[in-house]
Amino acid sequence: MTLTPPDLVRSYASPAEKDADWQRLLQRAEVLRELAGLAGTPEERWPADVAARLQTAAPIADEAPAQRLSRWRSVFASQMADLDQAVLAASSQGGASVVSDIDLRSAVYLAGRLLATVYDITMDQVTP
Amino acid sequence: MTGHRSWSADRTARLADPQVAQAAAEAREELDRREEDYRRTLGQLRNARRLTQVQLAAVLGVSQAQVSRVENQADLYLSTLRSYVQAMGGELELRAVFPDGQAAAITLAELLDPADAETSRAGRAGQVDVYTAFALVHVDVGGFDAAEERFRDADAA
Repeated sequence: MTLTPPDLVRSYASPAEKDADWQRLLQRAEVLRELAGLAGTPEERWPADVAARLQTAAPIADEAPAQRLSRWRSVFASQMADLDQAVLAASSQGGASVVSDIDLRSAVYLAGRLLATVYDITMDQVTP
Repeated sequence: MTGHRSWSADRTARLADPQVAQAAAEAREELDRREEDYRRTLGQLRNARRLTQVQLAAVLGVSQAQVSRVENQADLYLSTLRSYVQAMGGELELRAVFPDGQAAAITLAELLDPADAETSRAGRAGQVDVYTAFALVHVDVGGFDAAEERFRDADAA
């Protein structure tokens, strides 16, 4: 099985397209950071829109959304830390221009998978 | 040879010794006492500040039931504990103390304050080369299916 999706090796058609993906990565990383932060916060203090999305995500019979979010953060802690570090490293060293196309696509993809998992949606439903 | 005894049989035999039974009972009482002390600590702290659970709940913006839950919870997030202490007008400090007498204060700011943590992380990330950082992302992409499976398995369990 090929674990890396084939479209990750595609080059960007233009700098504008690459920059749009860089912006998407920044947005996704920000949402992931917010979700990770909420994992230690009571549900009552979650922003309404976030709470609504998390409360509809694949509930286990006796697992509250807050417990599920904490479990998600634990299971994917290293992936989120790596992603966070990559985004911060690139941000502090020039942004999209210092990241190769495949690196950027991979990071956008990883962030998307993390969001799809926590929201229990498919990749094409992930926004941003 | 069948000299092997089960763990429970061995335990029963040991507890039949009055001295062992007495020591075990005392150990159990000590554990219960410590647990009770822990459960009382936050409530006593609040009482010493002449605050009710309702007043503290109003400061924290939570229900009285949640304050009660925090006071009776066996394990707490540091962020929760810090909020609780700050709501009483105090500051939470953390120290690591070792059997050899060494002690060190643990800075909570970076552990708990998102702004400080952000600054610190950005500083560290600035020292990591981009190539290495994204190499780890590739590893994560490669292993994501397995990690997700672990997460889903628990969903299904």
